[in-house]
Amino acid sequence: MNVYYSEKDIQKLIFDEQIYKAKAILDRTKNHDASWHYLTALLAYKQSWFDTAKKHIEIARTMAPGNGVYENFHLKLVGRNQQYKAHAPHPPQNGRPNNQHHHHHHHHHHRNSGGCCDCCDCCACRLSCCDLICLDSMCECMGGDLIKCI
Amino acid sequence: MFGYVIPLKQELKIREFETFRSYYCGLCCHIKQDFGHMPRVALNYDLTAMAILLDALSPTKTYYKNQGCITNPIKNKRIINSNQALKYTSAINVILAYYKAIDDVNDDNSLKGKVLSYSLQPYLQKIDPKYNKVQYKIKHSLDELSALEANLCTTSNNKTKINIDEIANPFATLVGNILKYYPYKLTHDSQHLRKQLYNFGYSLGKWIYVIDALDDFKKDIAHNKFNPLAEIYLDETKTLDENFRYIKKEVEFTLLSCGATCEEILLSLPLQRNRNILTNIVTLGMMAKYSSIGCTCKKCRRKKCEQKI
Repeated sequence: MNVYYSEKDIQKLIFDEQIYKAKAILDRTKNHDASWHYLTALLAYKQSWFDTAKKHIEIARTMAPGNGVYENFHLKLVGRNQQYKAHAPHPPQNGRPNNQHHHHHHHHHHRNSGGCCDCCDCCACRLSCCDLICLDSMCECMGGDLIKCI
Repeated sequence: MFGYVIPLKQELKIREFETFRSYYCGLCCHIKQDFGHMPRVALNYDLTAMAILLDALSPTKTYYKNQGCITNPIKNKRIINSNQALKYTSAINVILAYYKAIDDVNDDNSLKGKVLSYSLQPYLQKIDPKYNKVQYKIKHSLDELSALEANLCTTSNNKTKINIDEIANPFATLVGNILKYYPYKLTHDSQHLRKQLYNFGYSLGKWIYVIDALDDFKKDIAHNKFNPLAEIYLDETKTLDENFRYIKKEVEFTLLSCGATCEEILLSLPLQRNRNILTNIVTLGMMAKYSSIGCTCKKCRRKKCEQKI
């Protein structure tokens, strides 16, 4: 990535909140390889420049497909949004009032916006019916059977 | 920017909703007390949420009192007694209202802006000197924002060069600084806490800026006014509705990321009170507000008119 600094060096700078130093190094670096894009994404994320982070991590993934570090970071970016989006209050199903949840600890209250029935509306596993069906199909492909009735 | 950061009323306990309202009323009373009747017209919900957050981190207890209200002099309302968080946010409210009025005058020579800025000017002298630093930071950010917007208007070929992070940066910084430079002591006050507050404010500010631009998108296009999302994403070949739908999808990632960040930071803050209200605002209220923007169903259209609490 850079003659004097490795990806790990700059990653450490970013995690240690040495934002200006990391930015200065990245700005000076002429070789915009996958590593550079990943670090730029990481730096952007640290500064809450989410769109910029997404753009650069996608370039990094395209340039170096299968890189675990880049994939994990991308998953993190997308995953936290999915989790947050699950809070969206959705309209009541089948005419039932929209108060069929118990929340003792308000900040642990999650509604799965993909869930279509009460059995899947679970705080602990946060899986929707669609997730379960997919998991069952995948399980069956490998010789198992997650849900016996489908 | 009058009321995007509000709770989802249906999911609040009545007691909690009353508390939220007490802060809102408290803010109004504070403006009257420290500045006068005039600046109350600029009262802002978003600052109410910030007042609740700062008060939640305050080492001093919150006191309530019963008081009559200008909107209903007969009925007494429970409001928050004078406290530092309200004193501060009421001053910020006046500062922001004043600079917004100036902006309106500069933008389109608005009469309303002229009247507002002229009448708010004397109140600026009443601002506590403790707030000079944050006032300077606010002015600096707003100047930066004006310069950025003006630059975009003149170089319309550079549509692909600027992105949403860059354009939202000045306002996000402004809100981050409002929280960071709170001039009174907080519980477990430290550089780390102030940094967390800055980051919270930054994401919140970015969220407000983008939501506001999204909400005003159609209106701004119709009146040929500057809109940051139009500058970045507008496609002349598509209809207004198609553009709006496309843009709403494009900004979703940013809005959700800001919400998620606010939620994460809120969980880690050493709040002394009102955690449920703040969690409701950040996880439910903001999400509900985003969902309702551009929604043309009867419920949302009605809600738009009755944004009173």
